[in-house]
Amino acid sequence: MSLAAYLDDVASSVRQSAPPVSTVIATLGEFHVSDSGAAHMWLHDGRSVCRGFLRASRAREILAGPRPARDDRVETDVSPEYSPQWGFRLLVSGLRVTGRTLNDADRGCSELERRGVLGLNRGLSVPPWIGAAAILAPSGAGLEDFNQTIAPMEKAGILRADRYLATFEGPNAVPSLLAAIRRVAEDQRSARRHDAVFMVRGGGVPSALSWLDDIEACEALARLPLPVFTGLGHERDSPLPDRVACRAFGTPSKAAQFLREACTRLPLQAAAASEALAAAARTLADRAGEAADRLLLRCAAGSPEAPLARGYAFLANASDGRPVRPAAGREAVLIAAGGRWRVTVHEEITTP
Amino acid sequence: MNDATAPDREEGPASAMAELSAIAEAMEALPPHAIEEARALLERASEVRRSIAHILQGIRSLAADPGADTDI
Repeated sequence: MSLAAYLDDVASSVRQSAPPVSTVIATLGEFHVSDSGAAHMWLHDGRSVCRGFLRASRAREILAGPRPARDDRVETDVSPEYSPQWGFRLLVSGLRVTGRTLNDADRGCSELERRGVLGLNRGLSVPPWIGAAAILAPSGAGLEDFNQTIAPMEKAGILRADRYLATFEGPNAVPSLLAAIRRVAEDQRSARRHDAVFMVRGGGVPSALSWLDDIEACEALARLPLPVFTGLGHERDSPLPDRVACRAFGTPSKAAQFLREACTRLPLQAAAASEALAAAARTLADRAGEAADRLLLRCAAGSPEAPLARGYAFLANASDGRPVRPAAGREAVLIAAGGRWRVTVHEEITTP
Repeated sequence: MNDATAPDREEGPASAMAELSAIAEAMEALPPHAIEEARALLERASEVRRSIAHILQGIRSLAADPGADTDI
């Protein structure tokens, strides 16, 4: 049997066994209207999630009023549909907004505020330079993308990034996260210290991140003594870790880009400063050399030998070599550049 | 270079420049017949100048490569 034939059978089974139109209460996880006018949405309720589709013909009528938005609590009239092309989804024939849903993250914020820990990590300063980072993430494409962005910095030796793998989804998420956060905290008291924690996970369906909205895990994050930076899911997501983090970047790629810039900032500044210092040192050394040359020239010019070298000579006393004035009949020593001569002064010549 | 007469490395080029300056002043104060003293002072000035050149070369090397192994 071909895949198409098999899936056609599945579609037929769904059609035959589908309950009639039912009214379902859910929360809108995401909602957007396509160019054709049809509306695509995610509906969720706690841990259950399903795609919904509102045909353009119904959407025009239903959406004439205020546009539904993420986290709206809605009452929907739905029927199941499966097609080999679109997969399983709920066909929405009616949609009424009944209020706003206070999601787990909102509730978590209130509880963490009550415990006095909500602003702990947010109050930490963003380090001007990050040379060592703890990466808290599940294994998967999101982490691989993150790794790829920072790999050149690790290879260049300007960043040490230690991975703390944890499960971010499912019943094991909280114990796994708590264990990983504990390891980060313990390492902070050892030689394996870090400048910041990066908690990252790629995008997914809206409900996938809800496993992270755990009070205890987020309190442990908030209490970490080093800043936590998050890049969780998509820009539109705002899970509880984002609310307690020192800074939330919205996506793993933005968090990775920040880390890349943060770890190169200081080395680049240091390189520029080093080059400026080297240039200044060279200039100073050149000037000092020139000044020393001038002093050496001054020494040579100040020597009593300098006038002799220019052709001058003087009469000196034969006994002690001190200069003497010439006088007729005086015996003396003539000191010149070429040597010394015993001389006798004959007579003074009067200059006309 | 004669290390015994070289400027103290700890003191660096500043003390060497000061010595050179003092030699220049001493030279200018010599009487015309103090030729031997003048030659000795000039020899000393040349030594100090070589010592300064050595220190400055070390500074240039350090500026080019901060990890360089210099003996200044």
